[in-house]
Amino acid sequence: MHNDKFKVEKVVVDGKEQLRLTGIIDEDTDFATLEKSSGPLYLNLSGITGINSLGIRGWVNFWKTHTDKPVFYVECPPVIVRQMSMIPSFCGHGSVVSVYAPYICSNCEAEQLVLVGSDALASNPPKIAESFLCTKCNAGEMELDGSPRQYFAFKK
Amino acid sequence: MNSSNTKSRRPVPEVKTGLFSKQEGAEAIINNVRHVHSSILGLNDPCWKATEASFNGTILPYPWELSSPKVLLISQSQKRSECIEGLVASTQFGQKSQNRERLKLVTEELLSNSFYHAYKNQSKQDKYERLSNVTLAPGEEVKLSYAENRNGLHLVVEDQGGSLTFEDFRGCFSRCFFRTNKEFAFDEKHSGAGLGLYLIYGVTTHLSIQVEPGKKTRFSVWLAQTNQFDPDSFSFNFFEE
Repeated sequence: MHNDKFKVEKVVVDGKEQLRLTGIIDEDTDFATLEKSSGPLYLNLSGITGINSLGIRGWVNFWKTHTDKPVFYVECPPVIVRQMSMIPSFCGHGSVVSVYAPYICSNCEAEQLVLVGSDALASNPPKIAESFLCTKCNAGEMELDGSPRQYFAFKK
Repeated sequence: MNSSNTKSRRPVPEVKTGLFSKQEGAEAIINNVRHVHSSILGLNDPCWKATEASFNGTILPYPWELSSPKVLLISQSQKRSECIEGLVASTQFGQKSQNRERLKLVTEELLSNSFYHAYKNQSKQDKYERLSNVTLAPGEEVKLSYAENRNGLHLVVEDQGGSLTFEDFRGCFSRCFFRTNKEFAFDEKHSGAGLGLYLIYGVTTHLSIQVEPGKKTRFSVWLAQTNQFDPDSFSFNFFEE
């Protein structure tokens, strides 16, 4: 069945081939494209905008039966990080390389996603900026939107 | 801390109060606890007071339940996304991306649960097949209501089936809840495997479920603004009349 809610495309980042997933993961998502790649899989999840319980079920079951190659999750957006933190088997045998952390300005409520890379993720809790100046209003402090303990619970 | 010395006219169901994590709360639910309240205020927590009053037959609204909600009636499953997008766009709460994401998730899971699992046929099986476009019969419309203030959003989803039991709910948690040395288990036979209910519990601050068997199930949830969100302060209540 054609599904225009979810797309997979090959992209090259820093000389490494990644599969970039975009859209919504739900009951209609077919993960077959991920099977076709050979070698380690670098999945760039930055374009995922939503996932429901049926999508999570499909995702976890897919990785349960595809343990033959190394998998790396790159640029995971908050919608994915939240599932990782709530559902311990969400990552399967994969490793998290980088995630986006959501920051919000205490003054103008501008939002910004900040990439937390592997170096920062190596420690627990991850070494992230507590706050920084908002570049939009130049007055407020950007702070993590939500509880760091809750957000990075997948690091346990 | 387990409280068991409340004076009451009705038998007091087992409760868990004190200060603990969502995972510990989920463990309590698996162990048959229908009323879970985590708060630094312990037994002085106003939410707990409302639950406690219900054991004496007094129905008090929870402090987070807002009045004068906007109400929508939905009867077609394929209108779900449209309805959710409309709801999110019409709220201040939904202007922040973290809030928007949680609101969409909770509304989608509650609505799909109502469409596909609330109504049973004579063999006690789901009346409407999942993955199909469903139009509910007259009188079965799902009622969605919501209201918000600066601290968060109160959402209620009500079906006219009343088929959810505490055992069902507990079963979902047993399947979904992770224990250190066990794998996350899915029930292959059932779509979603109850994972949706676990996700709702995970992202809401307060969740109250009232079931009138064969008549109605009412999910009432409080989504706190992210800057008000305290992972140690939450409640879960399951009332079966």
